[in-house]
Parts: sequence; C-alpha cells; structure tokens
Amino acid sequence: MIDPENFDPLAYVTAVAPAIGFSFAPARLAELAEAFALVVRVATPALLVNVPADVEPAPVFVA
Amino acid sequence: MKLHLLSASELAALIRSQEVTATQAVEAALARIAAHNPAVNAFTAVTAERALARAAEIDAMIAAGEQLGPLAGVPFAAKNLFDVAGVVTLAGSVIERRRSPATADGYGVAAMERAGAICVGCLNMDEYAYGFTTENSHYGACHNPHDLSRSAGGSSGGSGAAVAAGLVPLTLGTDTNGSIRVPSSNNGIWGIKPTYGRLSRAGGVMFVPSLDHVGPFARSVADLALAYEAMQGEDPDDPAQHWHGYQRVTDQLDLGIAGLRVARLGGYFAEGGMACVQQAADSVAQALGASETVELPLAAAGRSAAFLITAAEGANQHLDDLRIRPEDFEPLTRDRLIAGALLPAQWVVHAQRVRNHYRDQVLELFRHWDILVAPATPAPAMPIGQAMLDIDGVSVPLRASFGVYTQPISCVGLPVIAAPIQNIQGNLPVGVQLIAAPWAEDALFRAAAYLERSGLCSAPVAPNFA
Repeated sequence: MIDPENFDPLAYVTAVAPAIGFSFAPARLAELAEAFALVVRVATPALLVNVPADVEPAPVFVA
Repeated sequence: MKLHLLSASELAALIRSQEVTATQAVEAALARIAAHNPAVNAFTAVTAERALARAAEIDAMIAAGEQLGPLAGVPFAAKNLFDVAGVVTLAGSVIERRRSPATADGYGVAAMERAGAICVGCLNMDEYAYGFTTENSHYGACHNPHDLSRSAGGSSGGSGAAVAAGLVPLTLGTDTNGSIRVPSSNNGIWGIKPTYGRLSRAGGVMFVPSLDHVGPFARSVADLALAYEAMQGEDPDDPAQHWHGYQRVTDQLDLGIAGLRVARLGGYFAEGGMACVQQAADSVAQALGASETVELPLAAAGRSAAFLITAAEGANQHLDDLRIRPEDFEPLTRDRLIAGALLPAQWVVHAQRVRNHYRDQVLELFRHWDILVAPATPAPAMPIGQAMLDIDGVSVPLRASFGVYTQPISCVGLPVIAAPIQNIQGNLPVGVQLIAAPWAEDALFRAAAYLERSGLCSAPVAPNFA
C-alpha cells in the first residue's frame, strides 16, 4: 500500500493539488508537503496492515 | 449559598422544592460567566435573554404545580457547533460567522431543554473540531481553570473549562477522535462519549460524520447520568443513529461493580505517555479490581485508520472553502485539511477496511471483559502555545499526539467515560478512560459511580474558581 521510506510528499502534493482544484506557489507547496508528510507518518501503521480479502470497508459505520 | 458549587442534581432539587428559583439559578450562572469568563474564554456567546425568559416560564410552571423534567431550571451550555436558535453556529470558524443564525435548537440542546435545563450560551472550540487544544486564532485560546497558562484541551475545550470553572454544572460537546475525553482529562471533570449511533447529532456542524459523537460533561457521575438520559431519543434526522431504545442509567449508580470483569489495557496504551498518566490508569484499574492486563489488537493501526478517515472526511466537508478562501481558516487547521483533501482514495478505503477488521478483533475482547481501563491523554494539560511534547525522551507534535489513546477507541465507536483524578502532577488533573462494549454505557456508569464513591475520582470546581 505504501513504502514510507521512499514516499516523496513534495512530488505527490505537487502532482495532485492541481487535480483537486488547488493552485499553490512553490513555497506553499513545501509547507503542504510537510503537512502531508505528517499525515503519512501517522497513517503508515494502518496502510501497512494486510487486511483479509473478504473484509469490506466500513463507510457507514455501525458499532 | 454558593450555587456554582452545587451539582446539577442538587440545584435541580432546590429548584423543585422552591428553595431556589430557576431565575436565581440562571442569574447566578450569568454572573459567574460575566465575572470569570474573561479569564478562561470558554464562552463565545451568552444567551441571557432567552435563558431568563425560559427560567421565568419554568418558575411559573413550578408555582402552578406542573410536573417538570429532572433538570428543570439547571443552566447548561453547548459547544458552538450545536445549533442554538437565534445564534450563528460558529463551529469555531470565521467562515461560518457569515451564515444566518440558527432557526431552531439542535437535537442535543432541544433534548436538554425538554428535560428542563436552560441553555445560557455557546462554547469555544477548535476550528471545525479539528484539534486537541482549543487554541483558536479567531476567538482566542481557551484557558484551563486549574492553570490559566495551560490548554483546556480540545476540541470541546470551552465545554470542559466552563464546567471546571463552575460557570455551569453541565455542558455538551462532541467527540470525533477524543474531543470529549481530552478536555475531560485536561480539566479534571467527567465526560462521556457514548456508543457511535446512540445519541442524535442532528442540528449542528459535523466534522467527520462516520466518527462524530455527542455527549455531556459534568462534575459528578449523577449529573453525567442525568444529562446522558436527557440527550437520548429516536431521531430520524441523524442517519447514523441506531436507536436501541431508551437506556436508563441513573438507577445503575448504586449497584457497585460486583460481576464486572475489568482489565487494564497494556501494550500500546502503556507506552508513550508520561509516568503520571500511566500511574493514574493503574490506580483506577486497581480500584476496579482489574485482574489482568490485556492488549487491544491493532490499536496503532486503528488510530492510524481514524486519522486517515478524519483527514479525508473532514477535508471533504470544507473543500470549496479551502479552495476559495483558505486564508479564512485557522492556520493550525488549514494545512491539515488541505493534506486530507489530497489523500488518495485507495488509502481511505483501505483505512475503512482496517477499521472493520480492527472492530471485529476488538469486539472479540469484550467476550471476556466488561470494562477496559486506559489513560485518556499522554500528559496533563500542556502550556498554551507549546508545539511539541516530550515523551520518553522523544519529541512529538503535541497537537497530533494528544489523541493517541482516544483515537483507537472512537475509531470503532466504543462507549467511554473519562474519569478524573485531581492533582496528578502538581495541581493538574488527568483523566482515565473506562471503555465498554457497544451499547454497554450502563456498565460504565456503575464503574464511574463506584470510583467516585471510593474518593479516587472526583471533579470539584477548580480551586482558583471555587
């Protein structure tokens, strides 16, 4: 799902932001890459979990 | 008589017996807010006119011998993401300030008023509930009544500080990743995040619909139980509500803990926090007769999944404003929301699958245990403005880390009561999570009442405000 060692947040943010409708100056892109890097860091334990193939997502969650 | 030192239950009893009028109770709360809110900055709006009018109605009904709800005449306040008729629902933002005032109360506010409680205002919070410190650049930081230089926690910081400072005995807040439990811990008061789907969230600004909960704060377990009961009710306007029928808990408070199987959560929950918060959790576990330490499987992954889902759903709620007026967002929030907007769908769907998988394993644990005990926060309240938190010699970002123990629990919607212990580090309190299986809030209230009676857990008005 992710290779946290080789993930490049600046390259990712630079590539994706225009597709979502954002336009940022290079200095802002660097700041956002930093914010995205924090998300990736906290998200990595979930992204590294091998979920059994029959487990469905829980978009509408029931406790 | 110092009305602000009374519990909601005590105040309601005095009003019922006509020793105190509802008008006197509301006037006393308004006077407390006027005198002390400048120090704590808990309130962003005070609804004095509405509250006094409602108090007069209640006094007239009491004089006429009418039967009233259990909270008749008791002042309360709500986090400013709940709709309160006549007030703009800010959700901690300036963007929302442009909208029209709410035309009706949100479900939680209306439910409290049906029980007789009187809304006296709206409370400070992190912008759009995305934070754990209520350092709100638009409306000012909320200050902790136990130490005004420190954070009241967040995102329901105003709800925590208003109760701890004795401005009102009851408040309402919301909890997506810890926003009831963190302020409960920081302010040393009781709070409950019920099971996901228990209480209606309709009538307010949502943050992350698949993770959002509402719940009350109080200074006693009996008050918490009264407010929790008052907030219940079937509501078709909240599509996530799963109505299980009315759950009475005020009759559970004297039952004790006999038969409850209690364990301390170790592993993930025994790491990464200051020694004093671990000791607090140990003392609660011991008082409840915990016989074992167990691990919540995949807790770290659960926290991560909640973080991803929060970032993506939260960003989606505000995508247009993030594109059009990013400068109007709280600087502490804006870049995290934009980062969330950029997340690949693949990751978010995977997080939802992890959540399902994790939930199944967590529920298995509750075949063996009724209550699990864990710290609520990795540290007591931290100084306002502090960006990093040192734990075990490692420096971590404070604002992202304060939910480290709460996020794995709300990720799977479990009910939790935050139980306060005072003076855990100097004059600072800290909270301990009592966690139960879905829909088993009654067990939590039994344990909380037992801890309160034992004297280990308590929530007096902060000494500087008593």
